[in-house]
Amino acid sequence: MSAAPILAAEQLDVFYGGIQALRGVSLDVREGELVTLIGANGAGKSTTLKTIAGILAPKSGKVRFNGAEIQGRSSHLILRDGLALCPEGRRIFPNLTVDENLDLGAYVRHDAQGVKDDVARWHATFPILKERARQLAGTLSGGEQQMLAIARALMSRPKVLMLDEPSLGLAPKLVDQIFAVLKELKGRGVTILLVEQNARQALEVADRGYVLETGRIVKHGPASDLSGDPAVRKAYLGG
Amino acid sequence: MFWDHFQFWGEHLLLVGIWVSLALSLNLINGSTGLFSLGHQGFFGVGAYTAAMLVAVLPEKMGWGAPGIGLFLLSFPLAMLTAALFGLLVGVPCLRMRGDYLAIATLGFGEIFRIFAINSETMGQSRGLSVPNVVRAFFLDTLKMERDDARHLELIFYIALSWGLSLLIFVCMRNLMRSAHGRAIMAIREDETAAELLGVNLTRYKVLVFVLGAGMAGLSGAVYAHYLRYVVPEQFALMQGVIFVVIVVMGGMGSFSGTVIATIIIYFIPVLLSFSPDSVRVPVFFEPGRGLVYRSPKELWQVIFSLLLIGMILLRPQGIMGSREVTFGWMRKRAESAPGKGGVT
Amino acid sequence: MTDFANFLLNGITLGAIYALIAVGYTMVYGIIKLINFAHGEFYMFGAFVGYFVLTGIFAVPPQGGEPGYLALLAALLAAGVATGLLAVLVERLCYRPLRNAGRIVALLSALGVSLFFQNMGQQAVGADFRKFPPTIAETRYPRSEVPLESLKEGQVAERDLRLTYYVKAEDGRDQQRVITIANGGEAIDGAQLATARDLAASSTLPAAVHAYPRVTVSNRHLLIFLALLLVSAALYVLVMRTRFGRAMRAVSVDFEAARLMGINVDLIVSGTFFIGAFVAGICGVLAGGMTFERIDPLMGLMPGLKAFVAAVLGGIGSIPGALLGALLLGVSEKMVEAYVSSGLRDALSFGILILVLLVKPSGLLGRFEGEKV
Repeated sequence: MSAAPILAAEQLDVFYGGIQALRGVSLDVREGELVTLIGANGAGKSTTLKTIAGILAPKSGKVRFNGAEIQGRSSHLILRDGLALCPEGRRIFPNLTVDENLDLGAYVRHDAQGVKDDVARWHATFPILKERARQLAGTLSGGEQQMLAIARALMSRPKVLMLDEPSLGLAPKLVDQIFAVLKELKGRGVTILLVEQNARQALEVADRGYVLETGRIVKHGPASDLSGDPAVRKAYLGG
Repeated sequence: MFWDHFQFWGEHLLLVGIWVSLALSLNLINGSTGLFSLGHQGFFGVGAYTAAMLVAVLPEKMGWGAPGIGLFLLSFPLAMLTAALFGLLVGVPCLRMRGDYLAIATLGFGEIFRIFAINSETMGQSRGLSVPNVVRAFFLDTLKMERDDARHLELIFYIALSWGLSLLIFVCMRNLMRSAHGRAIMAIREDETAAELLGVNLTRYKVLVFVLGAGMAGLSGAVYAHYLRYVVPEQFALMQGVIFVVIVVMGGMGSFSGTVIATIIIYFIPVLLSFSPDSVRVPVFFEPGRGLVYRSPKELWQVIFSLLLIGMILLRPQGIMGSREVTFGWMRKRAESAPGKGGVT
Repeated sequence: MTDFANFLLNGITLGAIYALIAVGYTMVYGIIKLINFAHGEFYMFGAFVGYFVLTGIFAVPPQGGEPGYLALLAALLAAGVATGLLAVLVERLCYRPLRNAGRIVALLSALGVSLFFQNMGQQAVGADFRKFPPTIAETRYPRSEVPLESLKEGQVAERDLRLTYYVKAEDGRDQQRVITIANGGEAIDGAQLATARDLAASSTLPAAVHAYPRVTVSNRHLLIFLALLLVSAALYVLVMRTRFGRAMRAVSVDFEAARLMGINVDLIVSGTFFIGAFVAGICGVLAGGMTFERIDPLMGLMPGLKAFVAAVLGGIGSIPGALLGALLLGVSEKMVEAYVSSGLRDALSFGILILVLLVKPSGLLGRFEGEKV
C-alpha cells in the first residue's frame, strides 16, 4: 500500500443555498483500497461524492486526486483525470442500447480495440449485459440497470471508482449480487469509494470506513473496528 | 394654453392607461396562474373588433343610421363577453398543456385571429375598419356642448375609463392571488411537476382566471378601438403581444406599481427617441458594395426593444420589482409616525 | 388530375423546405428542451449570406445572373458555416446562461433573439424585398427535344412546347431565357413560331425546343430534394453511428450523467446548434433565395413557425418525425390553398399545432417524454 493517498478530500464545506450540507469533511482513499462512507439518509454522503466528482462546488476545502487539486474543475474533466462516479439512481441512458451505454462509458478513450476488449470483459462479468447488448437500456430491470451503471463507470478505466448507493431499491438477492461484484472488483485491484446505506454489507467488503452524521465525519477507521464499535452497531447495524 | 398641453399629455396618459390595463390583465393570468400566454393581443383584438363592428358595421348593415350612445355602451360588455368566450375556447383545451407548449398554442391562436381578420370581408381585411366617434357625437348633438368642451371631455372620459379599468383589473388580480387557489399556485409556480400533481383542482381555477383575463383584455380592446377610431389587424400582431409580455416580465408578477412603471418606460422610450434630431445617425451595418448603412435612433426603437427584452431576461428574470410594490420612504415614515404623534408622553 | 399532381408536387417541395428548417428546431429541442424561436431567423440569415456572396464576391447582378453550380456551392457553404457560427454565438450568449432558469424564460430569450434579427435586419438591409439572383439556369423535367424545323404553323401541339435560348447578360455571361411556343392541345401560332425562330437564330448558345408534359419538376426543386436526402442520411449516420451522435443522445436525456461520462455537454450543445443552423442556412439559399426568388428580413418568420409546427406534428425531438411532419404539413397547405382558400393556408398550420398539442402532444413519431423529477 503506497503512503500517499490517491484521492483525498480536505475540510470540505458545501452549501445548498443557505443550508450547509457538509461541514469540514475530510477523507482519503489509497490505491487498491475499498473505502466506504456510511451514514443515515441526508447525512451528506451523496453530497460528498458529488462534490468530489465536480457536480457540486465546495465553498471551501480541497479535493486532491493523483497529486493535483481538482476542486472546481468541470465533472467531465474530472472523469478524464481518472475519477469516475457511478451516480445514485443509476442514471443509465434509457434511449440507448446496453452496448451504446457501455461505449459512452468509454467516451474519453480513443483506443478502439481496448474499448472492445473491455466491453467483452464486462459482458463476461455480467452475462445479462451480453444477452441484452442490443436492447434499449430502459427495458432492463432495476438490478440489471445497476450492473450496467457499474460496468459503464468502469469502461473509462478509472483510477478510482466512486459508487453512490449501488444497492438502493434492489431486492435482497440482487443486493448480495452487487456486493459480490464489488468484492470481485476489489480483488482485481480497482480502487473504490463506496457510499452505502446498507452499512453492514458495506463494512463487510470494505478495508476502511468513514461515518458521516449531519454533514460531519464523526468516526473513521478500519472496517472491522467500525463493525465492532458499539455506537456504530447501534446506529447503523441494527444493534 | 393649458388645454393644448392637456390634449398632448392627456393622450399619452390615456394610451398608457390602456397599455397598463392590458398588461395587468396579462399579469392577472401570469401572476395568479403562473401561465405564460403569447396570444393576449388576440383577445385584445377580439374585443377591439367586436366593439368596432358593433358601432361601425352593424348599424350600416341593418340600416339604422348613425350609431347611438346605447350601442356604444353595449359594445363594452359585448366586447368583454366575446373575448371571454374566446378565452374559454382557447383556455379549456390549452391550459392542460405544459408551459412552453401553452405559450406556443396561445401564440397560434393570436395568429389565427389576425389571419382571419386579414381575410374577412366583414372585418375589413388588412385595411381594417374605421369607427365612428359616438362619444363626440353624443356630447355635441345630444348634450349640445361646445366643440372644444366636447373634445376635452371626451379625452377626460377615456382617461378615466382606461385607468378605471386598470384599477378594476388590479383589484381582481389582488383578490385572486390572495385566494387559496392563488396562494397554492404561487407556491408551486416554479415547479411544473408539483403543479401537475395538484392539477385536477387547479385547472378549473386556471381556466376561470384565463377567461377573466381574456375578457378584461377585450374591454381594453373596446376602449382602444373607440378612442383610436380604427382597427387594423397589424395592431394585434405578435410583436404587440410581446411588448405586453415584456412589460409584465419587467414589472414583476402581480405588481401594480411595477406594471405602471414598466409600461411608462416601454411606452415613452420610443416617444423620447422620436425627439432625437435628424442629424444624429448611427451606423448599423456594412453592406458589400454599398458601404456603411446609417439609421436615426428613432428607427432603432424595435432593435432597442428586443435587446432590452434579452438583456432583461439575462440579467433579472424576476423583473424590476419582483412582486413587491413601490412604497416611498416618506410614505412609510408618515404612516409609522402618525399614530404616535399625539401620544408622546 | 394533372392539377392534383402539380399541387402534390408543390406540396412535397414546400414540405421539403419545412423539413430542412424543422430538423434544426427538433434537434435543439431534443437536446436542451428549448423552443428556439430564432431558428426561422437563421434561415433568413443564411439566405442573406448567400445573397451577399453571390452579389459581392461573384458580382452577380441580382436581376438575372446565372454563374452556375460552383458559385452556388460556394454560396451554400458560406451560408451554412456563417449561420452555424451565428447560432453557436447566440446559444453561448443568450441561452446558455438561462439553462437552469426554466423553459419559459429561455423561450422569452429566444423570442427576443428572433425579434432582434428581424428588426436589426430591417434596419441593416432595409425592409423591402430583394430579388435573389437565379444563380443556376432553370430546367424542368421530364422533357424531350423537338427539332425547331419540324414545327409547322397550325399543327396541334401534343405537349407544351417551349424554346430555350440564350442572351448576353449585362455581366457578359450567357443567360438562359425561355418562351412558350404553344401549350399542349393548342395549335401553333404562326407569329409565335416566327418569333421563336428569330430568337433561336440570335441565341448566343445553341437554342433548343423541348416538349414538356403537364407535370414537371424544376431542377431547383430537385436540388432541395437532394439537399433533404443528403441531410437526412448525414443526420442519421451522425446521430446513430458516431461518437458525437451517441453523446448527443446521452445529453438529451441526462446532462449530469452525460458529464459523468466525460462528455463536454456545452460542446455537444454548441455542435447541435451549429448543425441545425447550418442546414437552415443552406435552406435559406436553396428555398428562400432560389425557389421563392426574393428575400427580406422577415422571410424567416412564417417558415420558421411552420417548421416548428411540423416538428411538433412529427413529435418534437425526433428527426424522422420532423421530416414526416414537414412533408404532411407542406402537402396539406398546398391542398388547402388549392381547394379551400389561399388566405386560410397560414391559419391551417396553427390549427394543426393546437390540435396536435391537445390530442397527442408527443406527435406522430415522438416518444413519451417523461418529466424529470
